[in-house]
Amino acid sequence: MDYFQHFGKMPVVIGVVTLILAGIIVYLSRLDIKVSRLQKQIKEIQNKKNHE
Amino acid sequence: MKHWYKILGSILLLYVAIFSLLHPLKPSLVQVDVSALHAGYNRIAFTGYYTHFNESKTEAGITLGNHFFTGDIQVEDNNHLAVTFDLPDSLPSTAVVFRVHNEQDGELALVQAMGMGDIVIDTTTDTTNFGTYARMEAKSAFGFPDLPIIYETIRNLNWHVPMWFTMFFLMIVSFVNSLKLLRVRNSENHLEDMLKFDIRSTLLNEVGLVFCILGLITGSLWARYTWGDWWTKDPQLNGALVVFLVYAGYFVLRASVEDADKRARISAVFNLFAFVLMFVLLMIMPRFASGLHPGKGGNPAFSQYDLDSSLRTVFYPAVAGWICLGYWMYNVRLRAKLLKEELKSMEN
Amino acid sequence: MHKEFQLDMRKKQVLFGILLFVLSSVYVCYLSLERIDSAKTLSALFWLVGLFGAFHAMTKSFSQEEQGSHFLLYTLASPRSIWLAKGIYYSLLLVFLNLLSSALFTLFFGAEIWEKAGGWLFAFIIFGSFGLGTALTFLSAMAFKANGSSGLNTVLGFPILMPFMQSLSMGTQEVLNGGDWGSVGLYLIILLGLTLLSAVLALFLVPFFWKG
Repeated sequence: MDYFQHFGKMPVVIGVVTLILAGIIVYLSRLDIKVSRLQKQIKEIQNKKNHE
Repeated sequence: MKHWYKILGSILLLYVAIFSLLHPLKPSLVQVDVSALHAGYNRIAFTGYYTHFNESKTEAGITLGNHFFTGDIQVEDNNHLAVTFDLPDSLPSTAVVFRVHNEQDGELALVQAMGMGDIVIDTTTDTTNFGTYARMEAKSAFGFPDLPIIYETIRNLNWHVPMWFTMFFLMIVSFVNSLKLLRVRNSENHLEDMLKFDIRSTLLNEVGLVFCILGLITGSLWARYTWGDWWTKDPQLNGALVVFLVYAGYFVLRASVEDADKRARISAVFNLFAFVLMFVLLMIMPRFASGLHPGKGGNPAFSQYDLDSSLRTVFYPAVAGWICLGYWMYNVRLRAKLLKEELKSMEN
Repeated sequence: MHKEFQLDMRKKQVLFGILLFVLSSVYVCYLSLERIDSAKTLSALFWLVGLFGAFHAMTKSFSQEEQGSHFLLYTLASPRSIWLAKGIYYSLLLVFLNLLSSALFTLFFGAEIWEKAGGWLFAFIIFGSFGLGTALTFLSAMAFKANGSSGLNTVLGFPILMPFMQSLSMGTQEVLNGGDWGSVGLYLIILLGLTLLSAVLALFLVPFFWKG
């Protein structure tokens, strides 16, 4: 175990982890938006069909 | 707004990512550079970890019972200092403790095996001329506990453990869905209702299984660098593996049944069984057994870790955040699957 | 239950198949090991033979249901009692098999299982067989209803049986090392708990998927 504080390097790790997490969250958000859009589209088509 | 948990989860997890790594450990004294003390002149260098020798008033020396030996202190930087002092020719015992007192860090102590050089150990030594030590009030500086074997990896607590909490949460919701499925009575929408719950419990199990795998992998990695082995014979580890296999078997079972109605019912029954088994294996059995993984003989997950309030400030948000994120993952998959079903029925 | 017994007696070759399996397993162990010195190996092997014997026997128990003559019986009897009958019969069968296998172990290895362990071993065999029996009967019932092949049986069965096997194996090991109630009792209680759990779960859940 290294007793000497390499705290100077810690921000790098923090940056990496935050980046990874942010990436996952952004990916999820985009998926979510795509799915919502598709849901809306299908609803519209169904409404059209019902009105016919 | 129905997206509240997604935003909350994202914020919490970003907070956890930053602070689980940014928070310091509690300051501690890790070593002194001598292996023997001498009568007369002694110069000892102290090494600290997450200490602030340079930032506030520091005192250092050796205590023996109530007596204190100190002298000139040279602080090199936040983690290193050197003390020069004299020791008498004889001491009453060998129970010396190295101490550093710092205004910011509180009182730090270290016991290290010491040779006594040319000092005579005589219990009748005249101690009247020795300096006395006034105990300072113990101060608890902010930081994660610095525990042997684990050291810095305690930060992993905020990542590995929430995986299991999330899995547990998802499985509970899946269990409830299976219960609801089995209570659907014969009615007009019988099949549709059953399928509704069936899809939900299946997807919940799927995402839960993902978290189970993540938990196993992170745990194994953590074990390798603290206990030395990728896997040990521990009831919680074995139990977790069994849980993984049982839920994997759930999917195998589903794959072998053709009829949707039968499949829904059989998988619901198996899900109930699997959940009870998981509960027993992970929450009940470990309390009675012994092993390396923390949490025996009491709470199955925590021991002295969670009593520390500094850890709690990051751990609880981590659990909440991951549960939100896990549920978000499930929610997106659910909607995508329902869409697929809709499209299929529209094509017909 | 009578029916099960009659059935098995009629098809003696099925029973003999299982017995032969147990015999040959123990014999193979003997050929490769010749002597078992450690309690660990002995208990592990013993229960391993027991486990595979149990799997073997189970595939026979439900696969016989293919014949149409049974459907009448099933429409008359409640699913719970069917399961109970099969479960008890199967567990007793396992008790018999395990006793037999322990005799074989004594024969081949001169391991004084019975002298050293005596009552404890008997308790373990009883508890273990009932535990394995109840869990496996439940699983094979489910696999059968799911157009099961024996492959499904094994896949589902193996992880669920691991806790049983662990308690059995560690418990017997303790016993052979001359443990007392303190160390051995824990495993017996765990086994009992697991058995009760699977029995209760099965009794509760069987009616749900039996229709159809």
